[in-house]
Amino acid sequence: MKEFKEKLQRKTNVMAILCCFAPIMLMALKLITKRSADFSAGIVQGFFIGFILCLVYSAARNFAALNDDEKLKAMYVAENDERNIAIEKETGKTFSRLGGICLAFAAVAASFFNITVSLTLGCAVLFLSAVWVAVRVYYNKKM
Amino acid sequence: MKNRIQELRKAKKVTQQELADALNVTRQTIISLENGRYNASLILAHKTAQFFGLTIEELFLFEDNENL
Repeated sequence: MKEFKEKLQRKTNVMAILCCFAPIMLMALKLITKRSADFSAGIVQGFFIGFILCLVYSAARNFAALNDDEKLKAMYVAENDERNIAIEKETGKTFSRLGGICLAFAAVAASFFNITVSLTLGCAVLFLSAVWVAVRVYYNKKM
Repeated sequence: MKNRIQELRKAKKVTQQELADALNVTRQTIISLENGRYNASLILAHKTAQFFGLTIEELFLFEDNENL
């Protein structure tokens, strides 16, 4: 529990620092995307703002837990509960398999309508497969 | 895998939440264990057996033909 609290404290500190620098980073992003198309700039800024909002929410939740032992224990249990961890593993496994198959089918289906879309989806499938192989090799060596 | 968690918990007059707190798991995990929907890890099985003052074999009923 002590280790968990220290880890959470470190994580919250990093989050708080990132939140403090968020306005500066947003300004920098605006400058970088100044010459880009409005749509691209909007997407980049939207993602960044969404990311920062998630960060602020997580930091606030962590901060509340760090100041309340009951909340901290509930968070510890929720994060370390082995059934939750097993569910996450199974979800990831099913999602990656199902996602890959759906993407491959979509690539084949798109080839009847638009070659660019089909090739993009095909490349996404290849990229995901490469990531899958790399992750598998990593865990094969680790375990 | 079948187990005697529910039976022993009731005999000891312990609620699911109290058992969950003692084992540092969620109440949902205790419910799933009792219903046999989830098989505990070796560590959780050990902790649970220790809580009831039993051995793992006395708490979890392993059948030979069980598919692991």
